[in-house]
Amino acid sequence: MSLFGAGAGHVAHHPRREPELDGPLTWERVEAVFADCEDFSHKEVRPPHWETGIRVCWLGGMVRSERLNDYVLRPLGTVDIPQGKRLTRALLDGGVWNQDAREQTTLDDTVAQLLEGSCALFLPDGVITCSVETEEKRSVSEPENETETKGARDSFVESVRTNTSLIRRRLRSPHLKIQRHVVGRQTRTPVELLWLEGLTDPALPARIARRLDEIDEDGLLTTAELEEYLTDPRATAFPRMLFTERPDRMCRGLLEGRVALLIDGLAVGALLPGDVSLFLKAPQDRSYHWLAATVLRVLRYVCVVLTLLLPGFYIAVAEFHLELIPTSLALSIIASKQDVPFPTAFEVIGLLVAFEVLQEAGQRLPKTIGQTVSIIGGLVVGQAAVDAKIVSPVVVIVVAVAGVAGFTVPDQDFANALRLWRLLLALLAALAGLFGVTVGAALLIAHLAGLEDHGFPYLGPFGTTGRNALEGGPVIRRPVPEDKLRPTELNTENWRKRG
Amino acid sequence: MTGRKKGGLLLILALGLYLLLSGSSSDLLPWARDISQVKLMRTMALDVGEEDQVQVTLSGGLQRQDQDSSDALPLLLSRQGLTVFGSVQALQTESDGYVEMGHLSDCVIGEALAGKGIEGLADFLERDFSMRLGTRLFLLAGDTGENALRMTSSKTTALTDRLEAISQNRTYGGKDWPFTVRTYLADTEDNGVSLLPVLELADNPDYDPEGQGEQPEKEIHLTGLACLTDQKLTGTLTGEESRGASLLSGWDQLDRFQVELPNGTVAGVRLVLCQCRWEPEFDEKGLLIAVTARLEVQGELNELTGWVDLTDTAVLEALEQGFLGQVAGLARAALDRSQEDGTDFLHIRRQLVFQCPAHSAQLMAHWEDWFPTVELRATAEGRVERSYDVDLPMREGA
Repeated sequence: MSLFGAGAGHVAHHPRREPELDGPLTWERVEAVFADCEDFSHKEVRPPHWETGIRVCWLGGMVRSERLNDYVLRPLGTVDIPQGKRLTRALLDGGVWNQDAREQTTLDDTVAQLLEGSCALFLPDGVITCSVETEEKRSVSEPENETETKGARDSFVESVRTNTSLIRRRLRSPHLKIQRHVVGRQTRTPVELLWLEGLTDPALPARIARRLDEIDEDGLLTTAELEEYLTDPRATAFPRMLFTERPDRMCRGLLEGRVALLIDGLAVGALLPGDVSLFLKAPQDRSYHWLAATVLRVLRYVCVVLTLLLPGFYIAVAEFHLELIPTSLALSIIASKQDVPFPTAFEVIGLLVAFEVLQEAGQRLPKTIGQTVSIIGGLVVGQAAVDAKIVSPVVVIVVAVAGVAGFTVPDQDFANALRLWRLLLALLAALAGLFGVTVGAALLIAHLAGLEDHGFPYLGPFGTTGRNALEGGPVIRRPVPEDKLRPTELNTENWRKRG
Repeated sequence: MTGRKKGGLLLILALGLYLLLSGSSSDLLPWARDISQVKLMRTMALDVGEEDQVQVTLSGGLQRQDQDSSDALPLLLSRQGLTVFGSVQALQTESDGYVEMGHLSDCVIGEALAGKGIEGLADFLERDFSMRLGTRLFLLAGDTGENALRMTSSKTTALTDRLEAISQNRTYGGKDWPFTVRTYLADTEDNGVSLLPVLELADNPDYDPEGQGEQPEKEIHLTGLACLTDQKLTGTLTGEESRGASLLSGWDQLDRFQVELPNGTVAGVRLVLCQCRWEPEFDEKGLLIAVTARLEVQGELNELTGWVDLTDTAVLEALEQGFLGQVAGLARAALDRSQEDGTDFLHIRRQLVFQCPAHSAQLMAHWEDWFPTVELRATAEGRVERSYDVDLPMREGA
């Protein structure tokens, strides 16, 4: 039995076979490729005055019937197309009414087009594919996780083209470039790379495009499958790509000089490169008055410190450095720990784990039941544990404060990383008191300082001097008219945001 | 460098840092002592034990059994030993938890021990890592510290709480309690003289011998100041001398005065501000001939036993002169006592050196010779504020 599976070193690299499908581009070959595929459909259409028919094939459910019938099959069956050597050319020049009709020469490309929702026309002198894909998709709705009271109410959907249109409607600029890449041997997922030309560092989209093309993966179905290919190093819990469901937030990132990724099938977009300050900015920061937004942002940073250090600090002072606790508080803690059989470290770490379990259980269950589990877990079980003298009330408060403080972090991935480090710091505190906490915090800072995303330092906004320092840095939100320059660390071609 | 190597290097660096900071001791990790296993000691009493030993009595104050109530007398531990440290260590065996001294807030020294000298205690307080320099020091007159701990404890109160209240009530304006280990050591280092507040036990009228420990047998009160020279008790200041010393040192800013006005009415005036400035006077040969303590005070009228016209400047002047005269009189009493005893317990030299740095060398060199003969004066300047005119509505109504 293996808990962790085989290491990467045990599996030799196996490059993708190019082309994936060999053999000539013939009807028989395509039929063979889609053998045992129930949704593979075909029809033979005989244009007027023709002795032989034209074979048309498509994948059921992937195409829109009206488009296929009205703009491909009907013209083929009714329009008088002269039978001759230049038949393919004649169809491309208007024989079929399709905006995306193209001639295919390889089996790979033809199959790929069929899988994307095109139909293929097998003519005597060649093969044409016409895009007749269906546009069935979920309609644009309100964001569920990134709500804002004074902002836009639309969010990304699973269709990449709809998502690009949401961006285009906000960034009506010809400088907005959208580059398409297909990722996944089996899923062939369209991934679109967006950036603002003349603003974003041109090396950045080029580098990400190259990394996208290098991805050799069976499927791209989740965000992590993309993030773990595009960011280095992988041995960190901290996210380097900001995933957002808000088009306005993505536009803000593009205007800052970042690049964006939209993945077909996922109702989120990604912004990169990411840094610490990006993950601690909430979408509503730009909607509130700058003073209120600044105070809230400072509060968020304080909460990050609290959620990270509070459990560890409590263990350290309660087990190693009693003198640091004010006497009245120490007496109160001692009174609350009367009859509790466990040492403080065990209590705190146990409750931290229980807190994570409750959180996980709440997320796995349907929303209404999840809330009930959280309430029952948090209040009833917590109170029962205190009454049963299993844990002391002070520890419940410490863990609850740390947990609630963690919820102020706007990005879930970043909050998850903090949760991991919080547990680590608590363990170090149990081992060596404040020395352990200090070493852990120093390791964390060293780790963060060592992180880079495509050449952009993770702590870049905090280490940048010069004009970025004049702009107030990552914590202070200055009044919008005074915030004139883009972040230095992004190396944008155009520094100025406004006149 | 690969990530794994970098991680390994960081781990080695952290270990190296740890070994460096921990003094490379054989104990790899710090010693953990859970807060639930300790007994916090809050008050220490020191007395003369048998055969010239030191008797140390520790009290943990009120120990709450749960969040809401207290139903036990404060924990008291007592042992004798040749040193304070030895006695404290011996007490470790008497408690069901680790005796934690890091929260010791008060130390009460018995009069007998103070008379013999408290060099050992001072050294212990200075050296022991768990002691706080902010620990308050008191001297108990006429009894032992142990008795003070025992007889002022009940199920609802402990000596610690009373001393806490005394230290908070007697200071004003956010100032810290002035009689701590820190000030004691600094004063002793300065000229070998230091003052400590004196406590006295008194019978508690509410005490019921048949009761279940609800009320303490004795009450404790602050009665004056004790002067320790070379760490031995050499005298006590009571009454005007004690009040004067407090005024001159800026410790006690809650003093109250009663001023008799020309028509026989007595005015109750509360002191709300007092600052002392020391001014030396040298002759043409550079000899110190006089030192003047200039007190800048401010009083607040709190009560009048009869009617007086407060709009009359003559009345106000009489009120202020009476108040300032009393303040100056108290200061002079303390100065006279200091000169009589030949001990500079007010640390006048230190004040003069700070306030007149140009003469610091002379003062440091000749102070011992000058102090017995120098003329010490005290003056008071200031005014009395009327808090509000309670007669105004009556006059307007009339």
